[in-house]
Amino acid sequence: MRESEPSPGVALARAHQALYRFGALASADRISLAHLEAAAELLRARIVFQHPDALVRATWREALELPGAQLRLSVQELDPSLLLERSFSEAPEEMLASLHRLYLRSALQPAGVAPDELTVELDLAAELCAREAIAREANDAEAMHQALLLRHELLSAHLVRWLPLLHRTLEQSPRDLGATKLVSALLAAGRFDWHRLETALFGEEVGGAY
Amino acid sequence: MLTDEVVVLRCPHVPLTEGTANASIRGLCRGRPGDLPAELPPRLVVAVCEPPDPEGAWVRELRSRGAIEPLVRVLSLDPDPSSVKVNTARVEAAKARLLLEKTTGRHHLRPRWGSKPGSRSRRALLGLPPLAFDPLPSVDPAICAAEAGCRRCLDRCPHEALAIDDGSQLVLDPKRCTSCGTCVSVCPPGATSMLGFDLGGVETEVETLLSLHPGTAIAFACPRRAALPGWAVVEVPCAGAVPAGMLLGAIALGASGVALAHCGEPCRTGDAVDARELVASVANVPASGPSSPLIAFVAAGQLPPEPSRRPTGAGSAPAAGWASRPGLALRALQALGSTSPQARDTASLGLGQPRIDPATCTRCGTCARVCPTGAIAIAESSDGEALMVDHAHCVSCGLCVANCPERERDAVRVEPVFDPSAIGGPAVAVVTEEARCERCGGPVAPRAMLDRLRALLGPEFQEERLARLCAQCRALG
Repeated sequence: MRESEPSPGVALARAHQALYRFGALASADRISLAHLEAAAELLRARIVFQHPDALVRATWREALELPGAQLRLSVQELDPSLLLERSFSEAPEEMLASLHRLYLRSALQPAGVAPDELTVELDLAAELCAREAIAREANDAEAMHQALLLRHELLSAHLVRWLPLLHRTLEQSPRDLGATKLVSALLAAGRFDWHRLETALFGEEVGGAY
Repeated sequence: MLTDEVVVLRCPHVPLTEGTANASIRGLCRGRPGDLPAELPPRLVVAVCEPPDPEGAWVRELRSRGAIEPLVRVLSLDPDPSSVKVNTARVEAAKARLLLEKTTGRHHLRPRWGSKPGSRSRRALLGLPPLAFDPLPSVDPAICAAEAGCRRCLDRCPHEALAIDDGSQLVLDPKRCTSCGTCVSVCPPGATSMLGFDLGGVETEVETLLSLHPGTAIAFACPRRAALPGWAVVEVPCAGAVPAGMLLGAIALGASGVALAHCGEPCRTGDAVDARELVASVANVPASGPSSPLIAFVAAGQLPPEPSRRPTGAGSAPAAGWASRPGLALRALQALGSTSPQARDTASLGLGQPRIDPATCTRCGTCARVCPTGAIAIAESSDGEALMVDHAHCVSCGLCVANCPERERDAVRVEPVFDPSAIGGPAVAVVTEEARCERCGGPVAPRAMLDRLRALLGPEFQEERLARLCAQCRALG
């Protein structure tokens, strides 16, 4: 007997959930190398090749070719402040306040960690992807819409804003950091997701006729 | 499949030198490929006898196998067996260009959904896979000259998709951007980039093409433009985004003709007025001698004139950055025998000659610090430091004038002239004589600058504090 296939919308939401969750794992402290390598293998074998955006596929493939140890952002010789959004924000207090409100509206509260840590923001994105998938499976249009709105805000006001700055900082590092490739992959996935939500939520015609 | 390679697929009707293509695919030219490889790298050259529908299902097929849309070059090649050499040169040139493209998250792709957004329910839209992808430009703030007042990309963007935020950083509105590439081609320091449209890559394609097949006539056109028989098409996002240096540079490298081909309405940059004017300016350059190349604007639906295959230029080795900077364009003008194009032509060609007035310049060096192309620079000379100007690097952006503290006295200006005698390299404009510290002998400031401050401040000028001691000795007290 074969399992029934998920709908394309659910599959895409689950795929993004997996990509964001992997980024969260890689940037978190105290994650064992074995767990991270297992997650990388799962992404390689089941998720990445199905993504509709070839740039997302190419950047993730390149990142996942790295040995597991190089995928762990937390143990690389990075200045820990680089993994905080406030380091790239011109108005950190306002940014933290808006992030705090976003967590409250998502009925979540980061405990014992800074809310603007890369790992925490990616975890929130993954959680909101999961809510979208569950709502779609349950045919709950209202819950789905709510999850999409929250994720859109997280992406446009936070992740898709500061990940390019983090990426550029890593790119300019004299050392060849594995983190650069992972952040590059997360950025490509985040941008695709943002465009998708933008079109779905606001139905705006982008780029005129193109 | 390695991600850093370029695969060449061809339809069986296209003659190529053996070993140029990786696979011959039946039906490729009709948009119904038979047996595509299971996995493809992001960069792909598709050589066909006639171009298939660019929006067809075959593009989705390539994408699903790993190709990234802006990195797929579809070359429409001549099926005549005598064209094997030029066909091979075009494929090799496209490969050389694609190899320079890096697939990193620095780049930004925008998915384009098949149906008009809003015409379907939210649920249905979320389930739809995107039909196509457009590259969006990204800006490197470390190189961008916006802080110095450069607004070239903003001024030239046909859709007002760019803005400057509070922190003098360039911001792109993806909803307005049509991926025309104008911001990439007009950026003086090359801070803007877009996947599939790297000016260095275009330069490489033109250089490779003309070295493998000298005398090729080159047409710059977007992927939507119909085939141009007899012309080697170098793909650009939009004909309106082609800079003058690219046309003139191709001539200097030996192209027998250059053309800008308009795809028709709607065009990404509007109605191709800029492209028309650019060609008119380049074609207006007075040429002497029998080897004048063909320079043409090809309107939508028209065919360009038949080019000759006679190389026109010296084919001299260019320096990097010739497409966007005027060095090679100036050499082309010289090769064409031009001595004094009209001022309006040089302005639209983006050529200029910085002039520094030694009588009013205080040698403060602001112009050299803000110049995004190095046309004004500070260099060591036998008499100390000197301000050097280089006609071959000036893009007439005017940042030196806008930032000069002595602009009211015309200390620096940019003249829209072409001076063949000044393109040999940087020339000394003014020599900076430094006032020396009375205590340690180190440099204090340019003497002319101190004289100017003395004149401006009068009795309030602190001679002891500002003119006699260097910063370190002042700090020591």
